[in-house]
Amino acid sequence: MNPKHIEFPVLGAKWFIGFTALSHTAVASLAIGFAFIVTIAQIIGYLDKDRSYDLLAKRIQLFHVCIYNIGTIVAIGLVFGLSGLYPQFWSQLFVHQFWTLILEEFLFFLLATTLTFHYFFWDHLWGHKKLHIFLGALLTPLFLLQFYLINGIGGFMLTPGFQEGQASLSQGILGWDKQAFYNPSFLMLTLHRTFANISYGGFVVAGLCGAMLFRPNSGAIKACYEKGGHLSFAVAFIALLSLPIVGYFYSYVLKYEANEAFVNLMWGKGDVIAGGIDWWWIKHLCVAGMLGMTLTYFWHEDTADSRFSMPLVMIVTIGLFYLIFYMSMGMIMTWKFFWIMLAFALIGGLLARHLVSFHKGSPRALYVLVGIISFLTVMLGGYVREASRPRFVNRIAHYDKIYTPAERAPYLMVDVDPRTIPPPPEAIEKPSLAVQLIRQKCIGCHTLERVRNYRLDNWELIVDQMRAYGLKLATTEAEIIITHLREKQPY
Amino acid sequence: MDLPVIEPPIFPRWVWIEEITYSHIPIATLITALMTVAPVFEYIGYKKNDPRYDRLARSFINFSLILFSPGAALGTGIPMWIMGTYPEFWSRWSNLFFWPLIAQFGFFIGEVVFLFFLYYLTWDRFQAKKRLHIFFGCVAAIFGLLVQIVWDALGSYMLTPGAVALPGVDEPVAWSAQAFFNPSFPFLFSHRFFGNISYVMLLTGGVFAIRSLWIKDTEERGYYNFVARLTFTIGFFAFFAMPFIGWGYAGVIKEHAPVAFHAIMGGHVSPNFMVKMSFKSLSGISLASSHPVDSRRAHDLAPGLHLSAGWFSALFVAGCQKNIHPGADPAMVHVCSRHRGICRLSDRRFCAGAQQKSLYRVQGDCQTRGY
Ligand code: HEC
Repeated sequence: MNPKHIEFPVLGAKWFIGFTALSHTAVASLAIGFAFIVTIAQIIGYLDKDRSYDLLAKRIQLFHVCIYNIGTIVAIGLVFGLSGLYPQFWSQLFVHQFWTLILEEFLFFLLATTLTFHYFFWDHLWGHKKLHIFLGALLTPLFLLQFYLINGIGGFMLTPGFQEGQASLSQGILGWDKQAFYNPSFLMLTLHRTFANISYGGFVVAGLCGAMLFRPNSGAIKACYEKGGHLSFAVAFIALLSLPIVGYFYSYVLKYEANEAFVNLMWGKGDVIAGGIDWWWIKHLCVAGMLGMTLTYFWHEDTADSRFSMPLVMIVTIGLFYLIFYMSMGMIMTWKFFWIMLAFALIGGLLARHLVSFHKGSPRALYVLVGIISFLTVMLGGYVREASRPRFVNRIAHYDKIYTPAERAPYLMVDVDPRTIPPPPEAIEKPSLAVQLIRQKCIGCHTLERVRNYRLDNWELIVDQMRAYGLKLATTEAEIIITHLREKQPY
Repeated sequence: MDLPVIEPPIFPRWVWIEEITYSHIPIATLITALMTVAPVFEYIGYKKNDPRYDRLARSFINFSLILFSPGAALGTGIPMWIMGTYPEFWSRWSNLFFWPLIAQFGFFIGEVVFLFFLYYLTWDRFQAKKRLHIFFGCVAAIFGLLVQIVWDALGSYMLTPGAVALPGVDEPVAWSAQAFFNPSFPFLFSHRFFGNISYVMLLTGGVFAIRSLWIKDTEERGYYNFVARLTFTIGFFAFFAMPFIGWGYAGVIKEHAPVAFHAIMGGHVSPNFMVKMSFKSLSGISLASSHPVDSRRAHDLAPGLHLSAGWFSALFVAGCQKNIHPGADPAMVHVCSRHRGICRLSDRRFCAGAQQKSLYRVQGDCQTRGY
């Protein structure tokens, strides 16, 4: 590690990064859900010729336009923080995935423009409603694509895959690394976050509608928020249902590809515990509570005969399904897990019933409460995911070798006659075939350190042994490797 | 270890950085200028009880908001491109300026909170509390200017490092007053401040003047003419500050970044400078002569004064060119491009400006050659 680095007072470098990253996530994760619900509301409003849905969509979009820049700026703060506090790590990672990030940046520009134009030209485009809806509908896939790109990098930090991924980092693959991008946990991370974002965005919209329903408003505005609450709560609920299942498979991937993180999560180790509290547990309690509340809400909605409701038999089926799901989780993990989850789901259900009947059938308080809990869940989920993994900086094999400006001396730092400045160095040479082979073939089961540390000279035997362990190697390739190793050439 | 560098396709790295930066700057300067004048107009409207000022201020803010997110997105592109194509420079630069960058982050948040939530969203609701509303607008503008101050300081450091070398990544600095308040910083900031106001106000005047030609409604046309005259006059006066600040700026560059100075005045970028200056004198002339005909009633400024001002700036510019243009020397051009625009030739790595040491060396070089 760096012998010296900038200190961040009070918080420390790690927590400053964690704090900014989480604040960014809190805002940025809303984008997909918001965009999705705006489009749905606009379509319904258009088909039903119901102005209140359109008004709702416009209000959500205004809110989004206002908070969008906060998300942007916090991301910039995060980037500056990383540059100053983890300069080596950040430069390496950035150069490694440069094109991914530049594409992401380009999408970001498109999105920022589309979003603002969609909102600010709402009335101007009134005569072209279909075009306007289409413009808004573009936002959801674009947001998805943008966060898809970020997931590739985020997933890589958790599960580098230890094969090509590691090789690519230490060998300095430039700009785009397919192996690292499509790393083992990429798919699960993306699925989990997609549904989670829609769910989170939906519950927050419902929560905002609920909050607005507490204010004295005219009948039309009230109707708009009521419809908005029902609509977005239903969207969010459907997305929520997939999450425990996807999460299960996600943790399954982690078990094999990032065992340390898996152990930290499941056994409550490392930074997952902060201030004596296991935040992973708290997150699960939130999820169970939300399941209980939402199921009760839809139970109630069925009798209330609202537009976005579900038949009772479906609610019961879903409830039973999750009961069985958590029972099997109890069998795998501990029965304590099952009982506590069940208890929280029941408490959530009772609370939901009470809140709805207390407000004479209006679910506004429930909306607000679930909105807050979904925010907490997202925050805790993001926190434990980052906190559980071993610090990535330790994993870059060459992190401890710092580049120093002294190396630049011939160019700029010393008093040189400008006419004698040497020509610029040529592009980095491609390593020889032998080096490429060793880097490719010998890191599948252990790191190259294992090879480097080996002091004897019987390479023929060693390579044969490796083939016996399962290394697939053509005879000619083996010969090239052996010669290279025997000559003690660097690789 | 050595950090690899991304070589982008089509253009060399510096062209990419330049283009990305230029895409951001017109938007950012526009927003900053509009934000600065909006609360002033609102205040004038409040004092004079003239709703036209309020309407104008409001449309400024509305327009800023439309541009805000795209502008911020493009701005984010700048550090991203630098990080990939000049990673070492970026790491060392953000090492030197860590705290200003973090402070900039705070100012930016402040700007958004005040601009969006407390100024824009509250415009109708705060009609009764106009003073508070104007105050929020001022705070937003101050935050915007603070953001600009940080970037101007960091940018001017690259031209006149003021004897503070870029530290290594393993030599944490985080804050250096000497580097932040470097010699050309006050000049860059004031030049940009007035430049922004002048450019944006003149542009606004032009837009409103053109729109007034189309508009049918006479009442509306009156408003458009009013705006055109008002913003044009402000832009004109702000414009007039520029040559004086620019003169001082050039002096500082001459002293602290002689290589760059010679590059501008006679070296490889002098054609750009000539074009800029020609534009400037041209616009000076046209400004003076195109003063709206019916303006005498609104602003009692003698057109003759304008005309002579325009001519004066034109002559001033032409005269400067003659005096300070030293003529190009191929060897000098080579040195200049290596140092001020290090990245331009083929050096694989970027260095912020030129290090003082090598500057003096080159300066000595210049002296022996009789510059
Ligand atoms: C299929 C998996 C696999 C691959 C691929 C592989 N190794 Fe190994 N290697 C192993 C295992 C397993 C061990 C540990 C054996 C032990 O501890 O007894 C090992 C150990 C070693 C050792 C240490 C031996 C000792 O006695 O300490 C060396 C040296 C080595 N490998 C070299 C290589 C080289 C060179 C390559 C590439 C040509 C390579 N390995 C590829 C599985 C592999």
